[in-house]
Amino acid sequence: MLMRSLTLFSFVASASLLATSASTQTPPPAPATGEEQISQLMRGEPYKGPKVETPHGLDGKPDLTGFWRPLKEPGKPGGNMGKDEPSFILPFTEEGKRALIYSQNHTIDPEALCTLGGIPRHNASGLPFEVLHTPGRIGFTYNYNTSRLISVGDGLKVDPHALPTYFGTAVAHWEGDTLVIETSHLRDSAHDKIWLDENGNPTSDQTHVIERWTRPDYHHLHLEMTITDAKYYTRPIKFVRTWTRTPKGAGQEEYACNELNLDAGHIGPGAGVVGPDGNRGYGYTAPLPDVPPGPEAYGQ
Amino acid sequence: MTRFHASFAAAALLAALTGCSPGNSSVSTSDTPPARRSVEDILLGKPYTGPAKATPRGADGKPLLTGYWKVLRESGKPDGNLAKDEPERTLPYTDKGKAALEYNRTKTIDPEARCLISGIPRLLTSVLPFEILQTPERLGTFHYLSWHRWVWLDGRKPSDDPDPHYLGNSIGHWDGDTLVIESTGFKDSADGKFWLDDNANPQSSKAVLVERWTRPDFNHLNLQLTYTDPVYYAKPVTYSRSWVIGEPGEGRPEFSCEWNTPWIVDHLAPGPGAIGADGNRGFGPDGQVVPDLPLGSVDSTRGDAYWLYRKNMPKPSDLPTK
Repeated sequence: MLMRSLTLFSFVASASLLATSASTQTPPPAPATGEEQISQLMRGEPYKGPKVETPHGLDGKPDLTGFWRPLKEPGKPGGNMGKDEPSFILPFTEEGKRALIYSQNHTIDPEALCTLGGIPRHNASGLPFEVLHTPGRIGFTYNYNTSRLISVGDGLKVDPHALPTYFGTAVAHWEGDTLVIETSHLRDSAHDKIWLDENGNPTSDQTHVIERWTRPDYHHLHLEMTITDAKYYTRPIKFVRTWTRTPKGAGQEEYACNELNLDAGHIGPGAGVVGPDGNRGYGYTAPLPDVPPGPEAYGQ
Repeated sequence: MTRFHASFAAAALLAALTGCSPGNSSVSTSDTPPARRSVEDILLGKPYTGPAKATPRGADGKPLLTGYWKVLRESGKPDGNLAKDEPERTLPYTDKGKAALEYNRTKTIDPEARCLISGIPRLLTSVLPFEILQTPERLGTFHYLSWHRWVWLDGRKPSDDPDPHYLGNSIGHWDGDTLVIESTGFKDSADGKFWLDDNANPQSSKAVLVERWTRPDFNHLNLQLTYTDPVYYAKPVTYSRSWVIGEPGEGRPEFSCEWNTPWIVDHLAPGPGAIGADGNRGFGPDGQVVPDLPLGSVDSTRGDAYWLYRKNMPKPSDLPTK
C-alpha cells in the first residue's frame, strides 16, 4: 500500500524535475499546480495547428528523434496492455492466470524498486520518453534514467542463445516509412522482477514483441504493437498508441530513481486495486494529490 | 587467491554452458555463433592499424561521434582515476579537498555500488566501453552500467541556477571540428553519494567540467577534459583519453543494477578498497583491469555480485558451500 505513495511520489517528483528541464531559451509556462501541472509536463496535448511535414534523417527515413508525450484516449485506461480488449481484460491462459496471481501477491512493482521497466511495459507508460535516431542505431530513453539501444538494418539476426533481459534482445528494420522493432529473449514474471504493464499483468520468456513505429507528421509518433506470448495469453495482443512532440527545447532530465529501492521492505506486492475502468490507483483522469496520501486513500 | 581464479573459471563455464558470448554481440548479420573471445577482447580497444577512413559527418558538416567506443589503455596509466595525467598521479587537493577525500574513503559507500547514478566525469574515466548517439540538437552518452546522460546542442545558454545533478547539466557547441561540452550544476561529495572517479576523489557542486571531443577519423575518438573545482582542488585538472570504434554488431548491452542497495548499505565497507601502486583500483584482488563478464558474474546481467569483487571481497559464487 505504501507502494502507492512511493509511486505517486516518484511521479510527482519526476514532474518537478521535468519542470526544470525546459530550455532556457524557451521559458516554461507559468507554474501551475496539481493536475494541471502534471498534465502540462507529462501528458501530451492534442495538436491543433497546421500539419507540419515529417522531418527526415541522414538515412532518408522519417526521423523519430524527439521528446514524446502520450496522448490520453477518452474512456481508455493508462498503463494497461488490455486497454483495447473487452472489459480491459487480457486473454489469459490458465498458466497466465496463475502468473497474474503470483505477480499480484509476490512481486513488488519492479519499477518501484527501480528495476528496468522493460518492454513492452514502457510503451504503455503514462510518462514521456525521448528518442535519439541515428542511421544504424536508435535509442529510447525513459523517465527513470533507463534506456534501450537497438541496431537498425536489413538482415540482422538475434543470437538464439542470447540471455534473457528486461528489454530483451531487439533488431529493427525499415518497411517503407515504418520502423519495425522485433524483441525476444525477455525475462519471465514467474521468476523475474518484470511485469507486462503497470497493472502487474505477467509476461513470459516466450514473449515476442513487434513494434511498428511511424511519424506521420512532425507532431505525432504512432505505435502499433503486437505482443505474442503463448505461455500466458491465448492469442496475440494488439496495442495502439499515439504520442505528441513536445515543444523544441524540452527533453528528458536526470532522475535518481535508485535511491528508492532502500524502501523495498515497506512496499507491498502487486499493483493494488485495478478499477472497472482498467486503471490502477488514482487512475488516469482523477486529480493527483499535492502530497502522497496514506494507504486509506487507496481503499485498501 | 584460488577461489577468485575459480570464480573466473566459473563465469567462463557459465558462458560456455549457455553457448553465449557474455558480451554484447547478440545481434549480427551472420548465422554463425559469435566466436569465443576473452573478456579483454570484448571490453578493451586495440590499436587500429588499418588504412585511415574518413570521419563521418552530419548534414551540418560536423563530425558525427555516434558509435560504440572501447578505450585504448595507456601503458602504466590507471583507469578510473582522474589524476592519471597529474604529476605523481596526485590531484592538487585543497585542505577541504583532503578532508572530503578522507570522508569519501572512510564514510561513503561507493555510490555506484548503491546503484546511484554514476556521475560525470567518473563515467568518462571508466575502463568499460560506452556508446554515443548524436543527433543535430541532442547527444546522448550511454555507459556500461546502464547510466546515460544527455547533452543539448541547440545553442542554449547555461542556466544561472542549474539543478544539482549527478550528471551535471551539459551543453555542447562546436569549435571547428571539436565538440565542446560544458557542464555545471553537479551534486557534491559532502552528500555522501557522489564521487569524482572510481578512486573516491571528491567532487563539489561548484565544479565546472569542459570536455573537448574530436573524431579525427572513422576509428578514433579523443577526449581532452579540464576539471575546475575551486572548493576541493587548488588548480584545474586536465585529463586525456582515446577510444577506438567497436566491432560491427557490438553495442552497449543491458545491465541492471538492482536489489543490492539495501544489502550493500548494510554490508559494504566505505571507500574504494585497496588501490594498486599504479593508481588503478582494478577489479578484484588479483588485479584484473577489467571485470568478469557477465558483469553480475553469478546471474547474467544483474550486478548483484559485481561489487563484492570490486571491493576485494568474495562473490557469492566464491563462498564455500554449506
